Amino acid sequence: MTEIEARHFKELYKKQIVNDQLRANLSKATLQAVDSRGESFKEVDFEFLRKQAKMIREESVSHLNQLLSQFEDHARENGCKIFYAETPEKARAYVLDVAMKNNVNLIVKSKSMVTEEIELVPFLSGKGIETVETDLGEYIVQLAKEKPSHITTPAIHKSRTEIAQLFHDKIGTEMNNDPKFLTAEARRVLREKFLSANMGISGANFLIAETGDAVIVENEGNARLSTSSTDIHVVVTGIEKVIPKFSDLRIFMRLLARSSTGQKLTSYVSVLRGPRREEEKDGPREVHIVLVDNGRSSLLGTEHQEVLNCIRCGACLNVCPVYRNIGGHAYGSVYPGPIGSLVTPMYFGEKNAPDLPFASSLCGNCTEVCPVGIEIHHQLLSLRNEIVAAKKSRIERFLFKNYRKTMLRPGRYRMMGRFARMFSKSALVRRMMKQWTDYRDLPEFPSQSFREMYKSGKLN
Amino acid sequence: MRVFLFVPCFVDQLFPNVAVSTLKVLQHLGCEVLFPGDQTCCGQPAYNSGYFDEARLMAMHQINSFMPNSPTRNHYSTSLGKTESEFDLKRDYAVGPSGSCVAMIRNFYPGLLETDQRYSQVAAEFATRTFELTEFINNVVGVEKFSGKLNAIVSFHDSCHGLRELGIKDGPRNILRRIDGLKLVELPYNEVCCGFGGTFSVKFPEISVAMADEKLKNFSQTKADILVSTDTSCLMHLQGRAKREGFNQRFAHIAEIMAESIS
Repeated sequence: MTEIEARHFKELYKKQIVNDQLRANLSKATLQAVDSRGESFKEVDFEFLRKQAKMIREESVSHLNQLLSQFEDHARENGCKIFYAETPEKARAYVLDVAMKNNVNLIVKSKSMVTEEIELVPFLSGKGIETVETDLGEYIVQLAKEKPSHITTPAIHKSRTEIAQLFHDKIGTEMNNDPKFLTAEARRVLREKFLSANMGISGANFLIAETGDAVIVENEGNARLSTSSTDIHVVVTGIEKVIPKFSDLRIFMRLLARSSTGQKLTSYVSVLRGPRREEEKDGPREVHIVLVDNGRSSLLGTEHQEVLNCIRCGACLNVCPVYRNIGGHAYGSVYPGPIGSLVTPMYFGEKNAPDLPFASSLCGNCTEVCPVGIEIHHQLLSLRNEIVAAKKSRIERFLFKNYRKTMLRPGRYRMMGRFARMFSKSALVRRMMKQWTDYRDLPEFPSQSFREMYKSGKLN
Repeated sequence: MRVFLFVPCFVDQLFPNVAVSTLKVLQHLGCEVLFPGDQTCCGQPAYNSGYFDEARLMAMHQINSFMPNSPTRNHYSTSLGKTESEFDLKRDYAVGPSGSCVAMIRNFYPGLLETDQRYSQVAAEFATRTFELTEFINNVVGVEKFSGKLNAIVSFHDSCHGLRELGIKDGPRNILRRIDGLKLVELPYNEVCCGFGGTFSVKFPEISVAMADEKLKNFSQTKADILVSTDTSCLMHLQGRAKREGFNQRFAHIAEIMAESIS
């Protein structure tokens, strides 16, 4: 069921890049996010925090099994039920089972990329269980029958006017592109859903090993409602989200919102510690935590392990000029942008996303902003190496072999250079350079190379 | 101060004036400049395309071409037929007019060759002796030794590899400010990539030129006459796109601007 469209990247991006409205929307939103991020880090020491965060995440990932079992013990003590799902199928089946046992017909769901990854909502809807996205961005995307195009701002590809039109068509609001108005309209619809739902689903930004807590960071309050207004609550998240101590949050709380939206702190930080206790008046009676692997543990012990450090802030998407021009949908994966170009082939197989690691100019802006110090563009390089080693593209191999042979023999290099310059205006050379010349002019080729000038002695 | 010129292959073949200017500037600053004639390509296109084995052989060749008498020299190398000087790792500098190619040597050769007993040590040392032209002038020669005169309004494009791999930011600007009559106008979003990216430019040309168009739009806003950079590769891409789209500003390597300002 988990269909990876990423292998069609080349067709997908070509469709997106000609969409001027999309590019304008993305450019506006991402550049604004980049500016706010920069502004928000002026008052704290980013490099210090990043170093700390990287250390904590590295420790967490390298002791993943141990921390998970600690987390599991404490979460059980708090009254939660824990389920490990190696595959999306197992995770979906478990959630469906919980819903069926409790006669659930309406689920309110807050944001969770892992549920997108395992395609939980279409699955539950297919089983006749209405599942409503309550994060505003996710709600917009759900109304439009689309997928999120960004990790933290799912509807970033849409303008206010496009959203007003969508609301007008789908929920009958008047045409008004004022964000306050649109938010109020969404709230009106969603409040009804919160009141009548009998199950809630959320993700988790962090799992705390020493306490068994699931921590959710958000701005709209919908996650807090989704996790507390129904009797049954299911957390679906990735196994890599665990960190050792509650006090580690002091680092991540300062980094996450700033990296993501340029806020000092999000409006809500919820710490979930199990179901309602006897003396408590509200909260769910049952809490389930589904820990999804889906390819993550295959990274452990490899040179790609650091990719599991990711806290899904989305900063690398916002700064990425490739993302800015093609948008999230072009990647054909729930995880787009630089981190998506790593995670998609690493979790779901390199064969399923052979082009993504190459779809980067390696400018390194992603690595520069990553709050947990993932060497994103260097990871892309090492993936390229793996893909090339496994690939059988004869033409490309032939070209690189000959390029190498030429460069190892200075005489051959000199001759090839002379030929190339001599025939630079020929139709054949132009045709061979089509991927360049269809879009740009070639420079004027000089009659002599530098080394020819140097050797002739006329430079001294 | 003895400097061995590191001339990236496409500069050698397509933009010899950039190398000539680099030579002139270094000589003007009092350096003794040599050009090891066996050098070809640093291997970056292979490395960035995932062909690490090919890149490794080219890295070895590159090192050999600077150290023709070293025991590591392989049988491929053929000198130009004259006794070449040996690069002294303790004393000499390799200087090249490209942040990108210098980053290949400085940041990636050591990793690429670390498991090779013959090369690991020399690669690590060679990395520390290799400089991009503007950082060499700023960090080794002393920028105060340079001054020039040129009437021009220029904007500066930070190349990503110069900026993020080598940390070059103020150096080239410090140099440009020492040119009398030259006015520097900063480019909006000057840390955003121009879209060249080596083979990226031909693998995904539509994305590559969309990024170039953004850069050219920002450049036009500055009303400057010349876009200056430390990297000819970015400039080749931007100039090629600009010509195609009917822009008529000039694109020049910082070595060319420096050379013009002292002549």
